[in-house]
Amino acid sequence: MTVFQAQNPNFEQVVRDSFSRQPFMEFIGAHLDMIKPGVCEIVVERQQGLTQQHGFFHGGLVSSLADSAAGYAAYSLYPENSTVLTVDFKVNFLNPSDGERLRARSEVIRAGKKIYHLKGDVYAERDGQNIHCLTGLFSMMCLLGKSDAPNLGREARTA
Amino acid sequence: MNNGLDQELADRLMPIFESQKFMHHLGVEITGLSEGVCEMTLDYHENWSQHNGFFHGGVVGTLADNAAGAAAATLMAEGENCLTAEYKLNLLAPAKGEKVVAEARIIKSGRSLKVAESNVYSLTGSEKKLCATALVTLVAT
Repeated sequence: MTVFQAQNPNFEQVVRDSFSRQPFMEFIGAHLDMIKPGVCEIVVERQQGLTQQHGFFHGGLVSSLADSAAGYAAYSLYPENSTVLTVDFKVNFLNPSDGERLRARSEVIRAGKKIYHLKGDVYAERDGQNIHCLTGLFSMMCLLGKSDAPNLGREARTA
Repeated sequence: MNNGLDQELADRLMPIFESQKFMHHLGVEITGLSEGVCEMTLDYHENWSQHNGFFHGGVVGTLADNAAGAAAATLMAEGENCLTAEYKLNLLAPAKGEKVVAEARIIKSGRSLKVAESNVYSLTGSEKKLCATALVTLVAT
């Protein structure tokens, strides 16, 4: 794995601040467990409201967690005064996401100028074991000069 | 990644590989084979190039896919076969150099589905650069 250098010395605060402004991550009770240049881990505890009909974590939720981890792993390498948006992702579900907790981990594979490529994996923690539930590839865009402040792109239109 | 050729696996799988006319046409070689792992190498030829002279993206995808297929085949019982169901490829850098090498590894071996990670590197002299990565789903037939 390539070791990346953050361009913004303040990256951890910038990432944690952005994460804390995501209502969806707050809604599901996710927390950002680890952030270092090019790597991010996000954890969520099991709640019934996050499951599907078999009691496993819902696939959409598992993908969301991986997507968010990938977004912040990329964002940790971005310069100041920029924000991040997902361009695409593809995931493979490897095992049912059955456990007490989910951990998504993502790493930057290649940092381009505008597009960052990442890999992401999600593990379910069950009885002290880690079950590999998802693997995926993600592309993230670096939007230079765009604020990461809330309601990006949804500023009230002046009538 | 290259742990050499597992002779027993090679004896079993080479005839299948050799029967793939397309691989033969390109001159692809299996340069590494062990349980759940395969490495394939293709030398540069202008016939494989696109308009900038790089290896064509389709050729890079073919190599990534085929290495994944052979990696899956190492885990199949005798007489079992596998087919690619889908793959997703990210082209990370132009594939330019003397050769390209695909390194595939099975990350999940289910009863009917196998999932492989396949990375393609371009080689120039001693320089090895990651130029594509793929996730491949294979189905046992």
